[in-house]
Amino acid sequence: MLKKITLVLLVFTFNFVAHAGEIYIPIGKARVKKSVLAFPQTKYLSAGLDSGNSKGAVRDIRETLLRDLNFMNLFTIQSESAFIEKPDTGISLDKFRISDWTTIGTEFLLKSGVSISEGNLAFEIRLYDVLGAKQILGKRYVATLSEGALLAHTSANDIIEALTGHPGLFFTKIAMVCNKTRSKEIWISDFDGSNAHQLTSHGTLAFAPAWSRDNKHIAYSLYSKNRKNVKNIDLYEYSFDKRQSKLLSNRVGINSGASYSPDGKTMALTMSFLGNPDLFLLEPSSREVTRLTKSWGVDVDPSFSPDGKTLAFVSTRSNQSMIYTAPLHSLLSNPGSGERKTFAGKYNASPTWSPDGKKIAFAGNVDGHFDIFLLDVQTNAIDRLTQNEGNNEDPYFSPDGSFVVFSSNRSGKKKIYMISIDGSYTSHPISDGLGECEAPKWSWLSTQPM
Amino acid sequence: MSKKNQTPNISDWPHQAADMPAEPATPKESLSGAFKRSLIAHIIFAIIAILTNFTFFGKPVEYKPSIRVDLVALPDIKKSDVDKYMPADLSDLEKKLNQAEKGAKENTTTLKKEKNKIVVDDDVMSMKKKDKKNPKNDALKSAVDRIKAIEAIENEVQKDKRNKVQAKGNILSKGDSMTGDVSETGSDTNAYVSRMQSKLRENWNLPVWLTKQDLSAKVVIFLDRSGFIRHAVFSKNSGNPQFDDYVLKTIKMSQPFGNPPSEIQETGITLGFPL
Repeated sequence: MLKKITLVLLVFTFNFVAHAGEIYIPIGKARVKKSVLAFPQTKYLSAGLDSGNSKGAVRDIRETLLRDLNFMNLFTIQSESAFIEKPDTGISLDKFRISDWTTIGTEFLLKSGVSISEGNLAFEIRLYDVLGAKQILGKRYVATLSEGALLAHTSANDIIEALTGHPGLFFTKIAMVCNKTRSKEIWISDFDGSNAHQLTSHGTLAFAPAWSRDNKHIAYSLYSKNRKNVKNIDLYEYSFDKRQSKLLSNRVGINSGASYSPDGKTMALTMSFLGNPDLFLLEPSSREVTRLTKSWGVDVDPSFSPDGKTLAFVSTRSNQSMIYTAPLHSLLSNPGSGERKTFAGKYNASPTWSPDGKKIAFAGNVDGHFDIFLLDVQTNAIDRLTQNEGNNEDPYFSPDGSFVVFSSNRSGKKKIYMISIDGSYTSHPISDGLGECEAPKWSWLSTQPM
Repeated sequence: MSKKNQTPNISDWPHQAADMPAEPATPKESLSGAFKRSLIAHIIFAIIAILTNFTFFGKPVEYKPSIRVDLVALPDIKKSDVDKYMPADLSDLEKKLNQAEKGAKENTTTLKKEKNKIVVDDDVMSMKKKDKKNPKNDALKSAVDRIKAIEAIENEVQKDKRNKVQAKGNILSKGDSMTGDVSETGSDTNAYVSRMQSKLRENWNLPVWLTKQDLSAKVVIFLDRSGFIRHAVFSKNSGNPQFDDYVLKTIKMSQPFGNPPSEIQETGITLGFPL
């Protein structure tokens, strides 16, 4: 009996030791690599499209789609001179040989075709994973000839979502402050800076725009004079539905730097009607305010976390301008609270949350210049995105978290740029022709034109 | 008063002592009882050990380089440039280490070969005599060679580090440790695992969009005698089929890993991407 028990114990002990000896190899961070995408010419699937206006519209759709895909900086687009497949080959998997693409190193193949459907244009796309020899996406979009851009952006959004799991940006907009008209006004452009137009016409100095989460409003601040001719900073809200602005707060002093809560019911902003600039919550519907901070320093630049539970802000309570975060409920119960997140840099400003809530981008002053930094909310580790290229300020995340849009005077004039969050790619200026521009704010995602 | 009070107590002791032999426990019974108690204690311990084993799996031996983090100021190196300031890769160090090990082994082989020769050289003869005195001498010499080689590399790394630009607030390097815990596995296994790690790292590429998500997976692989994958199974899926495909592709591209030590053939190896 005893021998049996001893034997059983020995077996279990061996099992215990064997588990402890298991070999584990962490491979570590993967190298990032652009994927090779081939996008052959659009195939005409029905007769009569290969001429005149139709031909031009089809070409425009393909070019817009290609521009959208290039914008994301995810792909190396293969040159058509590398293709070995004949141009008139079909677009469905049974109509072409996948080996024609594996041979030339294609990873993803985007085939497209157009046809006429009840007088409208039908644009069909098929996206293939060449290595896996399978179709990832197959869709057909129908619209009038004049709505080519809509077709292209919609299909580009679907392609990006199929590949990355995140919705595409191609219907989003960017709000910014530009002085093309000599006064500083709020301007709106598409995600890539195209189709820019002026939103406000106050003729003074409008600044600090902020999108509501439904993309239907933009809050902004305005230098103004009250009845007694005393200068004030007022808070306004522009409604895209009504196409007009309304005054939200003209309390004495500063009413600026608004950030909408995710539910759209409140906004956080800096107010100084009690003397010291502090953070307050403002309900646009009732125009009531609730105090959020009470420190001897100046508290500005509030930014709601994506879940609306935490605020990031800038405070001088430590003598220097530093980034702080605090849960909203603790600010409401204890207006002096806050966790200091940065301990270096002379002047840190404009904190803004990544859409997943894991990072905070901010502008920090080092060696007399502002640069863009990314702070890991959990570990407080900081990455630098810009260096030695003038002043880089006002960072703001794209709603898919791929880019940070910011203002920079690297070319001598203040313009708007965007940089990928790994810092490997910076765009050309997207605000050319709008004078000096600053404070870019990316809209929230949209599945249709705004 | 106190003395009086104590007296009866003291007088009790001899009485009790005198009674002791009157009721002796049989030696057999007391031994059996102690054994039973001991056995029960052992069984309880074993049960706890076994349950712990099932509940909290043994901490695997992790080949994880140490990480150095400086956070003294805002980073003075761009995120996209940090790689330029890293030691090329751990794989370089690993290669050097492997070469050193190989060199040490070659030394041993040479000595063994010489032992089989008919030798007349006095030095070699005297070495042979020493060998007779201490048969472990070869192994010792190779161990000393190994330590010297490792020390040399470590010195080189230190020197290298001094020459590098230090980044503030950045994770500058993956660390300069040779490997992680090496206490439970032999040097052959270590060298093999290091080679596997650098081979897998070379092929571990992801499209931009997959690197932006915090995805990770673990795969347990079993190798055949030539180092080809005999069997691979996910012990943790990433939840993203595309990512899992790239993990499998990386493993396939990296094989064969060469003739594995018997220990590895039996237990398999868990690979973490990136973990």
